[in-house]
Amino acid sequence: MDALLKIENFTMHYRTRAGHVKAVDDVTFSLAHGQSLGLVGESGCGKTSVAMSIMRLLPYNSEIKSGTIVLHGQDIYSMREEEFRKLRWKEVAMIFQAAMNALNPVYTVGSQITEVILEHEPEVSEREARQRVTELFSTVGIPEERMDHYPHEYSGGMKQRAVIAMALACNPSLIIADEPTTALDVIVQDKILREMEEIRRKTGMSMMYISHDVSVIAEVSDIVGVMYAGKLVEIGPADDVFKRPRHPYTYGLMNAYPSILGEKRDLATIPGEPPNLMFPPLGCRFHPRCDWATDECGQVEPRARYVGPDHSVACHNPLRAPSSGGEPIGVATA
Amino acid sequence: MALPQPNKESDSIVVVKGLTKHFSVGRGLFRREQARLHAVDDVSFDVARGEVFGLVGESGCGKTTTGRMLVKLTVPTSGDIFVDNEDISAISGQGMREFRQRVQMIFQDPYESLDPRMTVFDIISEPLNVNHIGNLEEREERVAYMLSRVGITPPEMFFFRFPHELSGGQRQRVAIARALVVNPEFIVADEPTSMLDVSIRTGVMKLLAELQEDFGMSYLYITHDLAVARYLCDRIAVMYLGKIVEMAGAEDIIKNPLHPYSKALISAVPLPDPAIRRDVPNIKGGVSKPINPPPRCRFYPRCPVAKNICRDSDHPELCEASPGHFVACHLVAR
Repeated sequence: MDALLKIENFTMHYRTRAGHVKAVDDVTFSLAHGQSLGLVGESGCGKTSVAMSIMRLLPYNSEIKSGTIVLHGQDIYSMREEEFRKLRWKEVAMIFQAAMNALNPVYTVGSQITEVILEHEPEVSEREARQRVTELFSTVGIPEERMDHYPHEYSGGMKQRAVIAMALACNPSLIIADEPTTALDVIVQDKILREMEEIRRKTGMSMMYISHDVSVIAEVSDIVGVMYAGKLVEIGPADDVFKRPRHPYTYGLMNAYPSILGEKRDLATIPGEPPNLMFPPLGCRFHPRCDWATDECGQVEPRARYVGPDHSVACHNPLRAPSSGGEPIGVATA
Repeated sequence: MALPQPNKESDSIVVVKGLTKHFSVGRGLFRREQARLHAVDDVSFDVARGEVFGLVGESGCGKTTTGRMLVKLTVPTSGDIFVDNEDISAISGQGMREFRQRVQMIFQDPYESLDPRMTVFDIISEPLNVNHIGNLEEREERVAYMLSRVGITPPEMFFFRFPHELSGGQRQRVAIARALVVNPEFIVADEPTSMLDVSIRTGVMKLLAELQEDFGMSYLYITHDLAVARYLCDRIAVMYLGKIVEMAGAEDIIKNPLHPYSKALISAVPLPDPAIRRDVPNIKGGVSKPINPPPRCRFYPRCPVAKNICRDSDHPELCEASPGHFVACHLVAR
């Protein structure tokens, strides 16, 4: 199957006065038409940097060291900025983190979305554009009469919906949603995620969800990618990754969250803290915090390898699922 | 009202009776008050010695205001708060100092709750300073002990660091050490882990649970996250627009919620298992603000099962539906 988005060996650094921050390191994945991919990881793991790279919205101090990002068969970093500008929002749109602040306070919400359409599709008349915004509003569940209201007259959930409507404005083939519901209460979060999945089902567009919340990712993703310290440490079909996590970090992350599901159980703690990406640890970036690390892990960087159909993991000693529940089996510390 | 009877007054560290806080809306220098926001309305509960009592609800439900009133940071409009059988509204002057030794608060944001110009030692020893506890040597010893208890080791390495030199998790640990250094009996913890990353958060949650056992303190734990509340709390009260709508043992409320709002809230929590498809939470509309609310049930406009009695009667009182399980709903058989 032809992939909509293909990222290969992508490495990106930020230059700072103190040194280079190795924010994204050798990340490879692809996304098919109509699929949803969830990127999960903690703050600073590089998930938003990956999104910004796909949008070509990186700040001036960023530096792409290697790799390609191919969208619809075109390498986006070989294009001129003016060329890519035609694709941005029409082919790939983004729902930014803290959507509450993504709207301009001095324009009505309707006019801001109309402007997006007019900017990207000059052949569309203002009337048609406004008509389309009306349809978008009904898609995301905002009453039509709210079009001429200002952002401050909206509730948090409605602003989030408006930002989703804006991302949908030019019928993109891919929407990147960066923590789309993080600031919202659970009931509103539930509604919005359901609506987004409904839209994906109807339009057949692809979604890339970015979140720190493994539960949110579990519910909306076909494929799950786990990032740690700039590395994509594990990626695979959601069912497989959640049932049989192979990377020790994935396992730790999934068991660190309390849940209301099933019996109350003890939480796993991951010792230590994520590394400073200016000076990432040698070998596997996770090895100082890993219960199963061996000498090799501190010296040799693990390469991604397949452990199942479409399921790959970057670990020297991937965990094996135990035959009857309990802790997964790994190589014990020497 | 039918008060949830505290077993015996002496078994409770905190007893709250009919606690109410109204805020004026639209009042200006020359403008009369336009309306009243009923942030907390006739709330009663008690916290037993050594108990962790969870206050759960969505933003704007009054949980933080309740917490602030308990530590005398906000003055109640009416109602009584007893700490150790002492009415805290009567405390002032020198008594206040002594009160702050017994009752402490941990705030949500460790980036804002620590003075950036104070060193870790100054921050943690300040409560000792203010209360004239010990000489310098003893304080040093005490601060070092607290730091090692909250997992910041070696403590002496951190004495002269400033908050900006610490990570988010370390800051929250320092904030916890500051709250515990005077050996308080009761702690109000306002979402102390919601700003932290998952792998760090679990550590802080475990620390809070461990310290609670070792020091025998009681907590009022404020959170929007039911899964966190389930993990840490003995009992949970669910708040909706200034009212406690349900109160029961933590497992009891998660497994067997009785109030339609608690049911909706619990069913909206995302689950970390891609194989599960949750039902749509049964709730209408969105949260409003309790500004001049009508006397009827606060949840009436959003309730999926409301009957005429809910529209025509006053807000239902909190009644014991089964031993230790209180619910405020006209329709729950008691």
